[in-house]
Amino acid sequence: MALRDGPAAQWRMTAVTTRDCARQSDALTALREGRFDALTPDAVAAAEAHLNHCAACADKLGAARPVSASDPLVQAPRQPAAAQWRRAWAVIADRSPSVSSIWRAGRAGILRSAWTPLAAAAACVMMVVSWRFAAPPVESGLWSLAAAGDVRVLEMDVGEGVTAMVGDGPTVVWILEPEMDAPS
Amino acid sequence: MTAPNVDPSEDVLIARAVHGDADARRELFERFREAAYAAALRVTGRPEDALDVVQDAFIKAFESLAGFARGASFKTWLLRIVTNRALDLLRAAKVRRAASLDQRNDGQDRDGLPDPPARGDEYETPGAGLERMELGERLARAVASLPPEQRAVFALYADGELTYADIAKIVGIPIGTVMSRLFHARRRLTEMLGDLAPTMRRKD
Repeated sequence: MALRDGPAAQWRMTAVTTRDCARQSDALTALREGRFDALTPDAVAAAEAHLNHCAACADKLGAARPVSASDPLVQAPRQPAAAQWRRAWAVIADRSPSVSSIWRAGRAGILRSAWTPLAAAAACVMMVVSWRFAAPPVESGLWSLAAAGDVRVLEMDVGEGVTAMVGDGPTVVWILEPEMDAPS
Repeated sequence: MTAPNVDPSEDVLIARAVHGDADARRELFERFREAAYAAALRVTGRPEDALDVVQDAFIKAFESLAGFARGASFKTWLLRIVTNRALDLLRAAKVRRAASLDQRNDGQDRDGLPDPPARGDEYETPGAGLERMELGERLARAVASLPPEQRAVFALYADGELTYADIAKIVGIPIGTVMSRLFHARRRLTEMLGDLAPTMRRKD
């Protein structure tokens, strides 16, 4: 619910509060129990507004089943005769494809059906790429070198007269074991 | 994961039906045809249209069954197809009526109610009409005069096995709007059928 605040027309949004839920409790209970006749149009409008903003109350009411079996406005319609059903089935059997195709399932159906193989293919591609670009250790005679994929320099001690600033251009950072000397 | 109201054997049937198993498809048809017909009839208001809708809905369902999410409710999914198809039929009929110069008066008065029967028809007088017409037929005609969006929600409410969340999902509206449309649909029906109040007792 948005409220206007002062002549500056500042809008602020208020979250649904538990007080709102408590205020709507009677109306929501009546709806859940199918007691529609106990409610007024204004009460239903207020309940509708609350339900469309409160996920908790919407979920609770959503899980309920209508009590339409005892509603006098609900009468089971007369169903078609057996012969009509047989004819309907003959039409359905004749016109349905022999095998359902995902291409007729619409975009959502295609994505749902293709999700697992697509995810598996993507995982294979990532494994191949990371294997191809992970440089093997280089044996230099003095020590093994491997290109680091991600380096964060937390602190750097530099010698006198040398700046710790890194300028433009290629930069090589040597990360040495304490007992090793830097190459010249 | 299977939805709580889904019979585990339904998944097996669907898996077989996807691959064209005729017995599995027949079983699905026989399990859900009555619910599909009842919903279609309440929305379209005409038995012949309702049967056409059921046929079209099952054909469409079997065509796109491969995209159906396993574990979800087939009935909810099917009724979505049925409801959409029935509403499409209503819209098409409305367009045809609007386009037809001979049918400018489509038999509905300003209140949206069907015209009273003309003299010489089976129901010559209101009294005779009430005696002859069963409550079910009066109800069916009253439901058929509701606006389409209320009709669809009422038809699914009348099914009795769907949750309100299912209904919201099928029609594609929030739950609050489901309740509002249902309230107004029932209110309108009660107003139209008020003279039958002594006949309409709550069923126990």
